Amino acid sequence: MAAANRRPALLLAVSEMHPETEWVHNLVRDGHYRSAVRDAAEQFLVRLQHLAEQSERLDVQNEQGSRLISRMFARPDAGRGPVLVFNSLSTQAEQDEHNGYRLLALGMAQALRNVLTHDPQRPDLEPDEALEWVGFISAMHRRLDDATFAGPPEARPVDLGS
Amino acid sequence: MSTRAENLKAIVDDAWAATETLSTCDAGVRQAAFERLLSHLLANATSDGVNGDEIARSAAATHVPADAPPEPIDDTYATQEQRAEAVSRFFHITPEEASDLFDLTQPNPKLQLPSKKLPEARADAVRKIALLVCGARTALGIETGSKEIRQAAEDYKKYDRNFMPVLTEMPELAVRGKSRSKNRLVRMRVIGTEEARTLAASLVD
Repeated sequence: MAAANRRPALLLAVSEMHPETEWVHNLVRDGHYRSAVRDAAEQFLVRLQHLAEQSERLDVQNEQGSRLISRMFARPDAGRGPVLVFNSLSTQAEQDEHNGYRLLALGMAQALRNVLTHDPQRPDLEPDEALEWVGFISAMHRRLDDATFAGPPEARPVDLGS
Repeated sequence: MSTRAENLKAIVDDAWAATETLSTCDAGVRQAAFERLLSHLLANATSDGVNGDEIARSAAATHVPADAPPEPIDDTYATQEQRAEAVSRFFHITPEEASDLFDLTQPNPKLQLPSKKLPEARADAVRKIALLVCGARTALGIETGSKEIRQAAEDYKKYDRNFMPVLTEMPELAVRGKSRSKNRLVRMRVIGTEEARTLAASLVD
């Protein structure tokens, strides 16, 4: 069936996604699937840019795209370390988790946002596929909600004592 | 011949002369080398024409080594103005408003909000104090311990024995460390930064 003739069965679910992706509801409803995914991915980067501007780290404030993601969620042992962390990074498993979310965010920027922005020849997305990608970006926003500012590299131990 | 055509001819001649040394090589190799060199020379040529020395100088001037150290950035927030700028950026308010909310004369920011702007209920007041104190310290790259928030709550007479339960249940903050510790590490969550902006905007109205 042609993409234009299909409507996603889970349209209601878009309105229940993260508030940062709710606004693409209209694009999905009107059948602009490619724009919906592209704009949702772009919005994630815009949100990250705002967080970079809020941070004390002036070295991230003019970064964009993949470089912004790489610096904001840097590995703890890389350069000045991350600006935002997805957990306390206190175990290898937590560091792996943090690294995994960094790679997911990079994948979103490179495989979704960049491709959908710069490759107009690519056919439009199927409705269900578009919804699934918007759901993925919504999940990334929810994970970002819970991320914390990393603090200075020479951060004090987690247990500060009494 | 126009100057432009002469320059183009000179570039082609340079490329051809340079690849003449490859005369013993396969003709295909020489042609490939000639084409690559020619496109390099054309890419670096200006409308006034260039010679080999100019190309070399141009390349040297624009080449940035991959391992060049990054420009040093001063984000130490050593002055009151720098601190006001950073805090204002975090809360999306002006530096003057930041200086109204916080005493930024010292490296450690101190809340100086008029007490009448805080809610009567202690739990609500503690939540707002925590967002403000942790936000300002995050903006300046300073870790926040629960004792800094407790001190601010005491200053405003909002501290009671439910202080820690209120703090640990705030979705905007992550409180880390042992639960029996008197000074646990408090970090601002992303969702908290957005809440803190809304709070600051309401306080400076």
